[in-house]
Amino acid sequence: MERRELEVTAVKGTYLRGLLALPVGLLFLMTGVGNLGWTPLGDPLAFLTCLLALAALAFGINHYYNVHYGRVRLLRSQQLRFEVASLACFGIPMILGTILDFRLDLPISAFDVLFGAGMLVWFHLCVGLRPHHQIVWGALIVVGLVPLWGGFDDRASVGWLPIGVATIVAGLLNHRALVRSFGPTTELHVGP
Amino acid sequence: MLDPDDALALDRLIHEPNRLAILTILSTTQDADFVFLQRALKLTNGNLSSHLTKLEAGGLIELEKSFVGKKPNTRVALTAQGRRRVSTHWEQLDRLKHLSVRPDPAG
Repeated sequence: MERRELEVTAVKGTYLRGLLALPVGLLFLMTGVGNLGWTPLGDPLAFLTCLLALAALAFGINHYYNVHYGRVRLLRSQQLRFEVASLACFGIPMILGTILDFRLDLPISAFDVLFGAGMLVWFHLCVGLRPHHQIVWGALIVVGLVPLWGGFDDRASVGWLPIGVATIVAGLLNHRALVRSFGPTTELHVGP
Repeated sequence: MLDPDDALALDRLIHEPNRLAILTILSTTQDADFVFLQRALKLTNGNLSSHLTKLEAGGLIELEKSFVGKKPNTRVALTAQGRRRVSTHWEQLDRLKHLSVRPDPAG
């Protein structure tokens, strides 16, 4: 095994736990449909109930990964780097995208374009860009650039829908990448 | 007087491929548990346990055994000596690799 390949093992084991993206993607979808009033999720109590269900789902998924794929703590310097990258790659696009959509009123979704671009940068910096990252987040950028967004009154809420779908799809593909690297759960007899 | 060959001497404890892999993975972590290492390296329980025992005896790793819920859990971390020696080992491997590269006969 090459040194570099070994040195990214812990990072892969931490950030390719893609099933954890399912509750996140569902949250994005819930936010969109809730704000648009398409479902009862506009009701705060209903939203809170679903939020608690998603939290339970996330907890269960995390437990599954810990039991079947083990636990690892990255070096503190790496953790800090990833936290800063997350702030830059998620926070800035979200704020900037919202401002641009509101101020410029172009027939595109700057929010979706910048979110997709932010995700590409994050994966490039933190885990290494894989083909499925380029396809999924590139597709989100393309969706954001399609000049049909001017027809939506609430562009921001609609924008959460393709983000939610992309997050779920990317998460499933990340999980597949994890299984390919570390093996399926059936192969392991849990050790001491 | 230092023997010039000492710079190229390989650490026998570390040089075994699975132990080198264990130490290299751990060099990027604060710690990892037994299951993670077993997954990453696709070793059997006994094989991994054997390597970890040797590395601990050599002072390169520390083992901490505990329970998570009702299940036993072993956490593994590099010692300072372990970090230093695995880094040195890779540097020595690089030196050997460069020495083994033959010059172009046409040049």
